[in-house]
Amino acid sequence: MRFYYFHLMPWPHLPHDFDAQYESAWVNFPNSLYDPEKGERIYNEYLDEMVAAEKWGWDGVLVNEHHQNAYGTMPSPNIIAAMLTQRTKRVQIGIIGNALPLRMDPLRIAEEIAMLDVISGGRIISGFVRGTGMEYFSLNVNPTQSRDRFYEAHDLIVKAWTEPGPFRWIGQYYKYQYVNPWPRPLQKPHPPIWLPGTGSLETVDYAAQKRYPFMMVFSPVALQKRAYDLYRQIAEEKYGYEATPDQLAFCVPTYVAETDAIARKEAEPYLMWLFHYGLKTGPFGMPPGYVSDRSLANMLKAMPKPFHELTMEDLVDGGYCIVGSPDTVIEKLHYYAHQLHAGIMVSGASCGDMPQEMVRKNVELFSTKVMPALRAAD
Amino acid sequence: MSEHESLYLDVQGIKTHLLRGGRGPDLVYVHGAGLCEEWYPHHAELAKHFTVYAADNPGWGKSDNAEWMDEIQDYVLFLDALLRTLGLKSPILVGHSLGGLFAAEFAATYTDRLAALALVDAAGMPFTAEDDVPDFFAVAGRGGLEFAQMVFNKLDVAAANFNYPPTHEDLLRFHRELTSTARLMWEKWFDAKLPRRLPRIQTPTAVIWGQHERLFPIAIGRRFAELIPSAEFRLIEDAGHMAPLESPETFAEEILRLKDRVTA
Repeated sequence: MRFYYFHLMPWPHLPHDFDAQYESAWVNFPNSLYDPEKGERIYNEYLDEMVAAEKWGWDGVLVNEHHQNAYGTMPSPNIIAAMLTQRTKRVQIGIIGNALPLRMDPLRIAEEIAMLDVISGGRIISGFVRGTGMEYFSLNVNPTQSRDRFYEAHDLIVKAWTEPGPFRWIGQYYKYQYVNPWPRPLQKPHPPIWLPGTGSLETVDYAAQKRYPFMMVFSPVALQKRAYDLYRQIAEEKYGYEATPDQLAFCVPTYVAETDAIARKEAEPYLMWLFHYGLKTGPFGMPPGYVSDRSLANMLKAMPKPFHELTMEDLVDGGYCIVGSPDTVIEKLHYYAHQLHAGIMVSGASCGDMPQEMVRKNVELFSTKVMPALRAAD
Repeated sequence: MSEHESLYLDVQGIKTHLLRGGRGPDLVYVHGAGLCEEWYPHHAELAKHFTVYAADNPGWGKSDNAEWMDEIQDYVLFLDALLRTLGLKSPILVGHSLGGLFAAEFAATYTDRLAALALVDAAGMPFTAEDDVPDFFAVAGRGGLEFAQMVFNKLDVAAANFNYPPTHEDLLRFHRELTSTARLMWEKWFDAKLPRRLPRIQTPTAVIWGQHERLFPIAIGRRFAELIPSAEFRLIEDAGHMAPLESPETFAEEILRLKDRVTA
């Protein structure tokens, strides 16, 4: 199993009456509540935390893109990734990902990732996402074009990385007389592409077809299992190969403490911050056309609890999160390795507004007590 | 409810659902982002005086989807094809909300095809950052009472026509209707060239607005009337954005008044 330290870089200082006063931590949550002077310290603490993950033995550090919100303050993840290329030596640096349809000019993504890949000596992982529904409100991008823009931008970027330029691109959404990015990426054929998602048939099939690692985000373990089973089945039956554990990633907040009881007690407020506050999306989560009519019909049938209704029991017992003593966490990760055949753990040590000393304890226990046991089992 | 029939047409290759009823001069009714598929009270009132043709636009109601239709112009040409398919030479064209924008652009494009034009709480007029125009899709996302209060003044009419809470079937229908609307309007918000085109309209026109319109404030309605040479601006008391459904009798009287202007 490989271990990736993921940071959302949240804005931790929500007002005490946040839940009563604000419908969302996104889109219209007023930016007067952002304090740039505190921001300086917070950004740099987060960066230090990610740099430290290299010393703790993690395989990579991961960032992602979100706009106009308190949940994750990295509107441009490539900027943070650029800093990490200079402050780390060994680890992979993943952007999971750039939100392709939100950028009107996807060639810029091909260029920026190629720059990062060359500068970092080929350590870049390039995730691609569609962006959340909220961001279609914030950036005035048409959600009904989201999927088609995603696929077209993906095809353009991969071709720009792998085929000699200049060439002409004529697509539905993008046209270029000259596709000819300098620099070209260092890794061959191109930096690894990851696809984070929530397990829709369409995304899982696409990832399996391209053999891209598929990462399930914030979902109960039963749904994760269903998505990985589907990936493995589609890979075998439709595309004729056996999927390996390094194609299946899980993004699960994790907290380790001395005992299960202590871990639950200590982690609860911060997991609640993440699911109840950070992921409070009000009316902005599902703009029209962001999912197809068919996907919406499936969602209505399954009707999972909305994030803000999840209890600590739902989160831990349902497997949205991994919380417990080192032995408990090791056991749960063995389940991922052996029952789900998933070999990429995406986690980290901080969550919501967790104080630095708790983050430090969490990363130390995970890195020294949990990680070695899983590595030894490989 | 008056007599009406439900039929399917092939309009430029798209399976199109049409409701037809009543007797009298031809009247084509173009629905907005919602209020299609059924024979509503405003259709029935109009059918007392007119032969009413109410089609579901592609992407709405019982008509097929046509996802390539992502511009207003596509719906203007569809309307042209619909009139040809129905063999209507000089109908009265009534457009509500988003359908009002289609109707306005149709009348500005084909300046000699209509007997009269009615734009009812119509979409498409440019507004400024200072204008009090809500984010339609965000309010739709909130749903429930807040959405009802944006588009209805008479909440009892809202309650009589919509389930609360909505059924899964309702949610899927709204999602499809809003997706078709978003395909046209999400990032555009309005039709920037509309003020340049409206002065081309030569058809006798009524611009009809609900007095309590909260989606497109009354000033926007007056702007339509100022830009169309032969337009008369009319308010429907006690009604909001859903004026045809909220006050069907008064609404039908306004259309009759428009017809009388044409014959006089």
